[in-house]
Amino acid sequence: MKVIKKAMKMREVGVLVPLLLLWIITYFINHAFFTSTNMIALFRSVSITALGAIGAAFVFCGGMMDVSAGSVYGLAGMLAAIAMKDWGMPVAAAILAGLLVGVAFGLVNSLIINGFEVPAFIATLGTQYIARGIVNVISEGRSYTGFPDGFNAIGGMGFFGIPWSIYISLMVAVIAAYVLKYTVFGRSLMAVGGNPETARTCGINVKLIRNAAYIINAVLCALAGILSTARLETAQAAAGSGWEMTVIAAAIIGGVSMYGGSATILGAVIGVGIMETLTVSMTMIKVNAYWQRVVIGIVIILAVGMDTFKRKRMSGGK
Amino acid sequence: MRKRILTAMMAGVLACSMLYGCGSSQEPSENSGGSASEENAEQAAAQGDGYEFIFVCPIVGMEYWNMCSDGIEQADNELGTSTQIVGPTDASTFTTEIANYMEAAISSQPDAIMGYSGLEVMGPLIDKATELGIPYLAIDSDAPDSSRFAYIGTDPYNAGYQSGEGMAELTGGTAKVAVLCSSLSSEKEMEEVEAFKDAVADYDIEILAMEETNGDLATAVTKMEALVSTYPEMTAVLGTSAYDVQAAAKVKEERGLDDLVLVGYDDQEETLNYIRDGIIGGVVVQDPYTMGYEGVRLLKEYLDNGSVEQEVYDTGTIFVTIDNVDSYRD
Amino acid sequence: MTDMSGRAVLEMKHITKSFSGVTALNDVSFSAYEGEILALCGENGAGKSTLMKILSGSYPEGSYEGQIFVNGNLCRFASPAQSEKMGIGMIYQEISMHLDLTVAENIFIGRWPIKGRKVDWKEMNEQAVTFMELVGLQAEPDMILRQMSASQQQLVSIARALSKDPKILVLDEPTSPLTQKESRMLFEILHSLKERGIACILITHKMEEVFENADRVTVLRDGNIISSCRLSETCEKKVITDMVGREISNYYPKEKAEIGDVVMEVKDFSVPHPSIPNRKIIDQVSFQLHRGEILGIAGLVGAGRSELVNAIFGKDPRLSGEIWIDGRKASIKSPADAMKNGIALLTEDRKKDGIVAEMSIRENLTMPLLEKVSRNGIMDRKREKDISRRYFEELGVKAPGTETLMRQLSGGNQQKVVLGKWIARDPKILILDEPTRGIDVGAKYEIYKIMVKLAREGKGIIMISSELPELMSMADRIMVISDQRIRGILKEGEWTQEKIMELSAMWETPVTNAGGHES
Repeated sequence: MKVIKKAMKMREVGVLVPLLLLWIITYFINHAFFTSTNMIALFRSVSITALGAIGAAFVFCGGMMDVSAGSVYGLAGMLAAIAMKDWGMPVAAAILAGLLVGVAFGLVNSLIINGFEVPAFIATLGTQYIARGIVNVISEGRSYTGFPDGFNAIGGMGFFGIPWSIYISLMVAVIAAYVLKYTVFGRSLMAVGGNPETARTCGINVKLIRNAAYIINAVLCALAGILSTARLETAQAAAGSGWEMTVIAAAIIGGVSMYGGSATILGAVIGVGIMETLTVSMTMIKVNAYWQRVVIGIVIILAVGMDTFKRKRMSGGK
Repeated sequence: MRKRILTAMMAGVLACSMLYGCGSSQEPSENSGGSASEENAEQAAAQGDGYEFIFVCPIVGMEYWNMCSDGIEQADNELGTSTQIVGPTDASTFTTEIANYMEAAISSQPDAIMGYSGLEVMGPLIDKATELGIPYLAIDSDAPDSSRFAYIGTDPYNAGYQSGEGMAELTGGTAKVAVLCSSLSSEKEMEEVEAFKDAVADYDIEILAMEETNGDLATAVTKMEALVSTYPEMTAVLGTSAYDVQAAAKVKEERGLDDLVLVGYDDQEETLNYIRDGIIGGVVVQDPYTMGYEGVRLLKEYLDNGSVEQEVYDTGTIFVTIDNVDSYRD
Repeated sequence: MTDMSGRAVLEMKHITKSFSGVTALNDVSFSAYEGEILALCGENGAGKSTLMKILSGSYPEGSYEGQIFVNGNLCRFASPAQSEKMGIGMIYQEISMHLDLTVAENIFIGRWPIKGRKVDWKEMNEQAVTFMELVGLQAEPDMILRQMSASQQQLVSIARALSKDPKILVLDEPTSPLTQKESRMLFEILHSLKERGIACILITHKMEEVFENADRVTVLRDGNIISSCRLSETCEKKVITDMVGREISNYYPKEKAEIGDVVMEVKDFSVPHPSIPNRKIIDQVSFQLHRGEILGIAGLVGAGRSELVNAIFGKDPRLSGEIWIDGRKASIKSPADAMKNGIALLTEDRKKDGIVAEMSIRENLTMPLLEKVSRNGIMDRKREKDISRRYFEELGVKAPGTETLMRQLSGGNQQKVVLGKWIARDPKILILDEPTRGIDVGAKYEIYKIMVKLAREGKGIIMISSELPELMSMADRIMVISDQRIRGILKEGEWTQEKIMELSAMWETPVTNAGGHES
């Protein structure tokens, strides 16, 4: 009982409840929802998008913003594909190349934002276009397919019939949560997001911390893009278009504050759960496709509302 | 102050890059064929032609539209014209962004414009262009009530009808179909679906559901998986945009749903492979290359003669199945 | 002085308010009379702000027990707008103005005069001038607030309150950002308001202000009214005793420390002006700091004292100059460098760069010590808890525990945490920029005690302060900065308030009209 009481106090309960409600309602209407095939498919899509939400949590925590996520996701996948098919690189090297794309764009973003002091939203909007443009140029609009089995396997099933991407994501989530809560870097990041001037006065290298957050985010997005490409066994030029919006919405729904200073990895992942569940649920409860967007919008507002309400009550209301 | 100037510059650069898109600016290329076409180009240039056109493309960089661009490039070479290709690059937002590109195209005052027209927003913009004396040709998808002087492309109705016939044949006349489309607001796709329904009206073929995929493969796969779980009675899938039928094929393969019949559109390499492997039953293939090629020709003809012969030019479709997959390209 | 048979223009009866089980106000009743200046005194956390927030309607009817009567009428305020309508004007300690609007726009915010369907700018500016003259604000009505000094902004806020024709005016530490001259003008205004029958409630820590201007003094302590009497019936000592609950014999702990050798030498320091391009705010300044010494820095607001110490700390850029620590030249390009060299800086504006409001006391206390409370990049929770507990207790921070969020603390307690985090670094040199600004007497005394203790430990302390009595009591030497230079370094015995003011006002360079100018 005590454990349950303690769990109820956790701030993530505010978003976990809507997610569970969503699941229960969908199950009632369509029992096929809780089949293992369906759940695995759901968790698999969640695991990939969750990487992006975790990255977004880092960026938000530092008080910043990054809308280039989807383009980096697409570029990493496409680059890995081209590396394997056109340049004949081995699988591991191709994956590394894709991840390096993430590092590169993380650096570019930080350079523009920290070096030239361009506002984060505009700077990453610019890199969003640039990255997408590069994808189109290197792929000439074609989609790539027919990758070595070793690569495709990463997108497939692992131990106990659970897809590798789920294991990978889980590991990333645990590490991310640990870093934020228990490391000097995590603490510094929260300080920078909470009040960058105070952090600077205390000797924290604000620019370095921000750069690191952008790089972490870009690498996670690249990883997601590579996993997705492996899963679909296809690299698509338009892959990831609009993905950053899903990722950011998921993080916010999950309770990550856009103003910085705090972050919840668990919340971000639950937020992704809500977004992905909605996509599937709508179909499974046979909501007319024309109404789906309306419903999704309403659910998002409700989820955020419930979370805000809970938070207001917890902080005692002045 | 320095910050503000820099931000303004970046915004300006963004605006410019949006304007010219990531699509390439087409110049008469140097490596297209031998001296014959070069001579033609010179002749045409000498005749003082050298019309300048703009093609407003819905998704620059997509394979389908690249084929269209190839046709345009060939025509430019032969006729001595020069066509610039502009348009959005993002499949999920092109329905709104394309209007901006159309506006920019009109402002550039080219000799004529051809563009994707099957969206509400394009109608008034087309009229605006013609009012300013810029002739407009609708390509690939039409705006029949606007002042466009002609339409060249697939007749979506014919295409849709063909998909229905193909489905009827592949399923032996009995099926419960789920439909995947990229956007419910795409008039072209909706018309294709209506035509499909007409074609199968006399058969025992029923549509169970329709889902939207934004042209994104991952989303399409997720939706397909959900459909499989929701409709155990489903026996066939119709996908109206290029990745939709591929997504259906992936899931079919993964889950071993061998009896599922898949019909779709467009001939991407991956799709053709699926046909060869017997996973996809058939696709309706359009001819974007001819659309581009003939499109340029029609623009020039209109400017030279003041009119063209027909109002609608159907570039035709072929239903490609395992029987003709390797031969249809002739 | 005041005719006590005048009507009670304000009566607050049996006000009780709690926050999550903690009682902030306990059955408080007090009144204000027509045409009087009532001083409301109390330590931070005594309940003064809470009481005023109830009066102003920020805490609406229903969130507290008790009643408010204005001119005998029972008032139920659901919002600040309603209390304004009843003639209650508020001037807050923390300036809440719209920095990107003009003076006139701020004064008349929410009530801009309209001609037809558009704002009547001309009328608004003209009317603004009337109130600006009333408060002695030398500026143009169409100047943007962001470019004005804090004291000017405060004058605008006072003008705003006056323009609403209040019957009761509440001023919370109004002279905090003001110069001597501006403060005098303010009290002249209050006296003229008195003549018109307006009651002024003055919340202040400054005893001179109370005893020079008030008619009555009411003291709050820990949510209770301790005393309420006419000025003639009380004296400074009694007021302070009531506020603090104990006798304080000295304001300032007088124990001096042994002055050792030079720990820091600043040579030929120049710092660029923050807002005027191609101008220096500090030009070729050199001085020394000794171990065990408290070096006070005096000067007018805007003279560059903060810029000087910020540059020494590596926080702001410096144009030129050297810093020598213990006889060796130090390279300081960032706060991290300064900290490595044993320097700590408590900044002027804790809200801006002293605290992270949404973090706990513990997290704030350990922020400059991250290497000390971690191993190989991983935080050592136990060490962190131990250290933060230690300084929490040592500084006497009044809060439920170290997990309390900073924003829930009073100003004085926040300042203690900020001081604590720097002390925890055991620096050689501690620079304090206005360390007791906006803090009550009790907390001030505690901070002075800590300063003395640190000096006795052999640390070199620099203290910037605008409160001359404080400076003269705590410092061993006082350096006066004015117009880019040091105008004088005075030793104990050499200084008087007048002499310091004289040195502070020395100005040779012509003042351009860019941004705030000093009076």
